[in-house]
Amino acid sequence: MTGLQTEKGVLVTANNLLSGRIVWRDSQGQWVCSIAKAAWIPDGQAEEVLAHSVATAGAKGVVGVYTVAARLVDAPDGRKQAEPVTMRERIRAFGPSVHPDFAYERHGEKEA
Amino acid sequence: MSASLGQPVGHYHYNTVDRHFLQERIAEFEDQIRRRLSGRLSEDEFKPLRLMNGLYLQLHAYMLRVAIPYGILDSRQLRKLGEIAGRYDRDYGHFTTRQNIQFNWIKLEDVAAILRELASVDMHAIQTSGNCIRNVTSDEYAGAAREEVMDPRIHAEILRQWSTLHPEFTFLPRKFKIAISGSPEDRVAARFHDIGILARPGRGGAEGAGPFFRIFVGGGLGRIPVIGQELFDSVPEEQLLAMMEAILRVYNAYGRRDNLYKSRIKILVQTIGIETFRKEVEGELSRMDPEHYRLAPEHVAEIRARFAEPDFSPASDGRAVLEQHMAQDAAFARWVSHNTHAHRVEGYIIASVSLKPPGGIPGDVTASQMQRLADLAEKYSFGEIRVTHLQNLVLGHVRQEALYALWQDLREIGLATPNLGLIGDIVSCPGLDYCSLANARSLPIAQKLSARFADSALQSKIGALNINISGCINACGHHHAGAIGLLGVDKHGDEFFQILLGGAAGDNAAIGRILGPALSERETVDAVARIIDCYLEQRQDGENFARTVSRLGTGLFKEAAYATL
Amino acid sequence: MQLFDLHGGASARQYGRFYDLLPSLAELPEQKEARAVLLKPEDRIEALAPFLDRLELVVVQFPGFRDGRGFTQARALREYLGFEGEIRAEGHILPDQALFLKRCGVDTVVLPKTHNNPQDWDHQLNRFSHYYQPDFLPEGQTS
Repeated sequence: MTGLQTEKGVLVTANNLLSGRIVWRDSQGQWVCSIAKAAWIPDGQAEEVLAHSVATAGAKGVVGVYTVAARLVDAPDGRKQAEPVTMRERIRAFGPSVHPDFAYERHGEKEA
Repeated sequence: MSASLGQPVGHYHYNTVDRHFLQERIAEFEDQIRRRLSGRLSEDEFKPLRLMNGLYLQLHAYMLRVAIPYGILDSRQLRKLGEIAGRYDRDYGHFTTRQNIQFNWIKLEDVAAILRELASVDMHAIQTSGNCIRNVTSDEYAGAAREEVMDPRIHAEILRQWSTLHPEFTFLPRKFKIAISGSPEDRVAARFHDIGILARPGRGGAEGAGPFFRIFVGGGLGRIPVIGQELFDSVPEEQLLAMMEAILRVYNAYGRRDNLYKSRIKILVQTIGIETFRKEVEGELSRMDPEHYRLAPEHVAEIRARFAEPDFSPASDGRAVLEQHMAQDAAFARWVSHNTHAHRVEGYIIASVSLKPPGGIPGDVTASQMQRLADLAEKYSFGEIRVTHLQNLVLGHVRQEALYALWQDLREIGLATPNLGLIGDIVSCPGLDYCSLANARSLPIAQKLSARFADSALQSKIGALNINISGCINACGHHHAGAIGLLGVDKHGDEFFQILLGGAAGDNAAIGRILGPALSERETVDAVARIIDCYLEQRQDGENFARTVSRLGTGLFKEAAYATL
Repeated sequence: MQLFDLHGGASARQYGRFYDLLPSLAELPEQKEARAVLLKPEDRIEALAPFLDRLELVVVQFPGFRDGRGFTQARALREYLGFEGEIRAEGHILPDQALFLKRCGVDTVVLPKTHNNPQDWDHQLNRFSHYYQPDFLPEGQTS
């Protein structure tokens, strides 16, 4: 595993209510499909960001908001990329291990 | 009713009222979705309502569980499922341990359209989830098996209708599962259901010819596996619905609602004891007007009349032709020896289609396989196809002389694996790859075991053995009922598996026991292989795996499993 | 408090009386003037048998809409005890449950704050034209 975990943090995630698609909260508080655009929130701020996300979930058409423990790793282009820590959340983010071809990213789904 | 009138064979044929009901249900759900979107229903309020229309929000997406009442489909319905898989999902569906089918990549915004398409072929997703009475399951050989004492399909349909939108039992403490069988051996795991029903015809004379039902109550797998207990051994047909009412009334009133894991009827029966439970049920029955609840033979006959019988051809020398084909083709002979079952009509045979190809995902079928299977059902089995609770399919009425051609057609679509009831016929829950509740993945280890034991000759040699795999203690893979059960656990973030031995469904129902400490995925596969080696060394007189374990106890197998560790 | 009549909104109201005395089942024996009782979901209906002749109203409660014990209580009141007075449902109830309540013998619903539009309830009453089970309505009522 490349990359050092310098801080503990989370990503905030949910499902789009209408499509059921996994979505991630970006740095503007919008819900986006790509985990590459998910905002990495340091542990200290997680509770506040989560509370705000839950409160605005209905208005934004998402459901089931929660935080995902994440670490920062080096992406191929040299930037830092946030990645879920647990297997469950990696499977949720990147697709079933037995059918990675089923992942949303592979099916060209429009932004939620 | 004759199939030549164009009615589908095998399952209840809908009338106008039934179809209208489906449309009204869809309109109701559409309205609920609208109210959810506009905020007039909260998610907490909407969730139970969508569950009662079969819609889960799972790890990746919404999952829709479509009902297949008592597991019987016609080819038109199977084609429609294939179309839905292609148009709304990832081109495949998954057959479940309750004879239903699941689509894992569904959008809420498509659900109304999907339900309309299902309704066009008399299908629905009503009550396939939620704290209500679920799909009534039955024997996959119902109405076909030679040794069957009574065809349970008619009463399965009667129970289905009785339980659909029942005004009193739609908000139960928890889910409620009923299974009914009419075979001399329990093929539906009746003793592992909330209510398990074993049907038999009357013995004539004073008893009359009308059917009788042996009722088991309070069985279940899940977190707390319990073998059901006999409530009554001979309920006459006229009282069947009254009995169901009485049991559900007691459960609805007294089942626990404070603890999710203690709210099934099995806990209630364990807590108050079967004697007290029986007294409560009898108390309800004594206050019910038997005439009001009487299941009249006339009504049973009406329902029976809506089941079309296959137009069986007169017997020929099909057996001789079949034997000749078997003599000519060893691979075919092997498939026949494992995957077929004797039919009640001379000249016919029951063929099972294993959905467990080596290295495959148990129970998964692609959209194109579904289309092709629909064609084969029409060509070989009067357009009827059945789903088993072990995630396989059945063509129930095949002419013996046509069996070879069927097998060849199945081979073309990769569904001729000769492993029914063998070690490769693995039952597995979807596990962490799909399910939000899981602790571990179940499918990769299922694939690895399947690949390890892929060789058909080896599978035949090992003989009857069922492996059941669950990804968490909710036990949807029924691992307690497997001769070998595997339970996925999370150990410090890594996937480990506990091995259980000695489980069984059926007449000698037993709950498997844990062998020892949990092992990693790779160690588990090796351990299972050593357990099998141990069995092959130790077995006597052609006894199967379960018998050998029962005879020797688990000690020797535990030693073998942990030998190199 | 707003009541919804499950037997059809605009018709002449025979229900809707509010009772000053609304004791619990445990309190009912001492409250000799009480004509109404407020049941808890765990209360056994049989305990009401001695008081039937003076009861005009039984209120069944739904602490949450998923707690379906009120359906069994209402049905048992009608079927086992032959109660002919008003059965009223109160608590967290969804309009989507209107037909189930009616078919179990409930007459009126105290509209919850979060679902207090009578039109929503009217819509739900007309959802289904066929049922697969018999129901337990008082004499003279049709579904």
